[in-house]
Amino acid sequence: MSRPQLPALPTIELPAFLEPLKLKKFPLRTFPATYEPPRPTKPTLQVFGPGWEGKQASFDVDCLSMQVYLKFCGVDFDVVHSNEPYSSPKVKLPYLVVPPDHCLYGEQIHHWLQKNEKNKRLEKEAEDIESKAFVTMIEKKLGAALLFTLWLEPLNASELTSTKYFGHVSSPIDKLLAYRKKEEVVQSLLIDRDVLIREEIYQSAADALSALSVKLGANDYFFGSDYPTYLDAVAFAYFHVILAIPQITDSNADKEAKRHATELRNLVLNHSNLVKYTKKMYSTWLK
Amino acid sequence: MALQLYVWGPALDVPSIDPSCVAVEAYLRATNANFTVVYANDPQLSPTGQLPLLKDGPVWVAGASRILSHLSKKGHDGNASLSAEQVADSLAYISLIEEKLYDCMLFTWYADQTNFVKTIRPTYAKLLPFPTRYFVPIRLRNNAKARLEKYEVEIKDDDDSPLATSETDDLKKLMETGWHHMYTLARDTYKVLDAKLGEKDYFFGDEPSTLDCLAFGYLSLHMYPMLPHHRLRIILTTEYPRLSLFCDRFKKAYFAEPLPQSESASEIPTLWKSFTNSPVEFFSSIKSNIIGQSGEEKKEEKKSDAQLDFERKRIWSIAGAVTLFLGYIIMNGIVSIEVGDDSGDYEEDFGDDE
Repeated sequence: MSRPQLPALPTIELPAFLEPLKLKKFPLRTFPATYEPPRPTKPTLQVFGPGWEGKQASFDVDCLSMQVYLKFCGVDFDVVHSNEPYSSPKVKLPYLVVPPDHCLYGEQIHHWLQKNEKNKRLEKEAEDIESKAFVTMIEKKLGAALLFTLWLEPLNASELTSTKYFGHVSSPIDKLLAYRKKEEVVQSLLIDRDVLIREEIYQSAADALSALSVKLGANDYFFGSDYPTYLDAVAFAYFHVILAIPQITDSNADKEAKRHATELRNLVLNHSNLVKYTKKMYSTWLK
Repeated sequence: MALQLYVWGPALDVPSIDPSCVAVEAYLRATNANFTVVYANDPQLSPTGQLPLLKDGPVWVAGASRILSHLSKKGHDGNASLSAEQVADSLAYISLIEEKLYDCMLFTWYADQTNFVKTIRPTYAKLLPFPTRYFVPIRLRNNAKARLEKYEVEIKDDDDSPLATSETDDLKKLMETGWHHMYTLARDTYKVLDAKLGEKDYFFGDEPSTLDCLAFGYLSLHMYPMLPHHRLRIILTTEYPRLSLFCDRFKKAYFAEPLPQSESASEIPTLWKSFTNSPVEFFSSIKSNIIGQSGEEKKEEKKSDAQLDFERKRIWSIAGAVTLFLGYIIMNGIVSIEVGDDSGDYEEDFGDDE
């Protein structure tokens, strides 16, 4: 295809007195950049943190499970307490920055681990498959109860959770964000059920906990494995987050509300093997 | 006392169009319970707005998981023969089924425009009575949309967009909705269930348990409906034949005979009743108890004289305030109109005088 020939653009000669319009002297001077954010040299996991009492372990269950899972897989990585979900491509922490130019979240992290042959699977194929069912159960049943405890038990929500998640935001934006988060939690819980009833949510969490307690037995890791897997990461994260929530010591608080605030924690404490498991995992992997 | 189960009616070659209704029905059939079904076809009948609904004597129980736990307390325990570890496994697999299989089903029904327009919407329209037929399918689709958001699946609202006519267009549209994730998810979930089932007749041996009923409930809706795009059915029959054989086996063993239907009871605890009983509770996000479990009478608290006195005073003061307020508005309204007219007249008069 031949293009029609366009006439050449005319060149205009500027008169000498208009020469300054060309701004030839700019830039007058070039300074070095004042601040260039340091580029990560190794994989960096962006999480909510630090945990309760300034511990390394994140207080957010998704972040914590990824944090320990990467440790299980022997990945050399840094943890950054960014607390800013909006910095992530999916508006959700955690996400993993892999130098030079990758930013991974959710499933992508698992794909990345798989590609580098660092992911941990159970030795027996059948057990590895079965562990997926348990991960779903934890995320669904225990996850609902944890969200409920954190955001819908008034004492926890006002005293602990909202300051932990949004405390670094200036007032009154933090209140607004906490309120919106609470509404989001209600909506997300209502997707799975027709009505929200406190007793039911805790009951199904209790069922899930006893199932996990039976499954774990006296083993060091789930399915009697010699090394921890993703199921252990998720289970540990949930147990740890539930157990690490500080007790509310305010004596003015309503007794009933106080009991509700610690209900989920007490459910975990009922299973001594789960508590032992959590403590051991914590001292092995996070200290 | 015979049990009465209110469910979504049969459609698409499945005992009920809702997987949890099929599951509960399967559970009752498998435990040899004496029960009748009512094809209610209207989720508004249930106090929580969701079917199935079970009437056990004076007690109403709504929602599949509540019904199952109610029945297991009443001596119809599907897990009676299982060991503690098997019960633990069963719970894990049930959560997997309820979550993943349901999401895959919703995806093929609602995200696939062709399936929705050609099969799903007409089927619901046939099942539902006149007024609800126009808004219930939309509500169901919005629900599906909320559930599928976490997979980044987008469900479009425009019903009027032309359906794809050719095969390639179809494929292109499906690609846009992210079908590859969802079919990978379906395959992964089938693989988990298939590994658990193995060569056995049922998941835990020769006898069905709760897990089998739920698996049948959800799988039957993947298996039997003849949708325009029945990819799930193809995956099940070709790649996981053991699961499809399981469905056929269960159907043959327990769904061979039709069930006696019965008339619905007169005093159904509908959604509307749960609203009129306690409007405040209806709108609060956390409910204190299962609304509509009539039969367990609540004791009304007696009010003390001081309270009664206080309430009387409150009513009087509120009434007084309202009257005053209305009076003020009316007075002001009349006065302002008169003032306006007066001043106009006055100015006119004044002008005339000059």
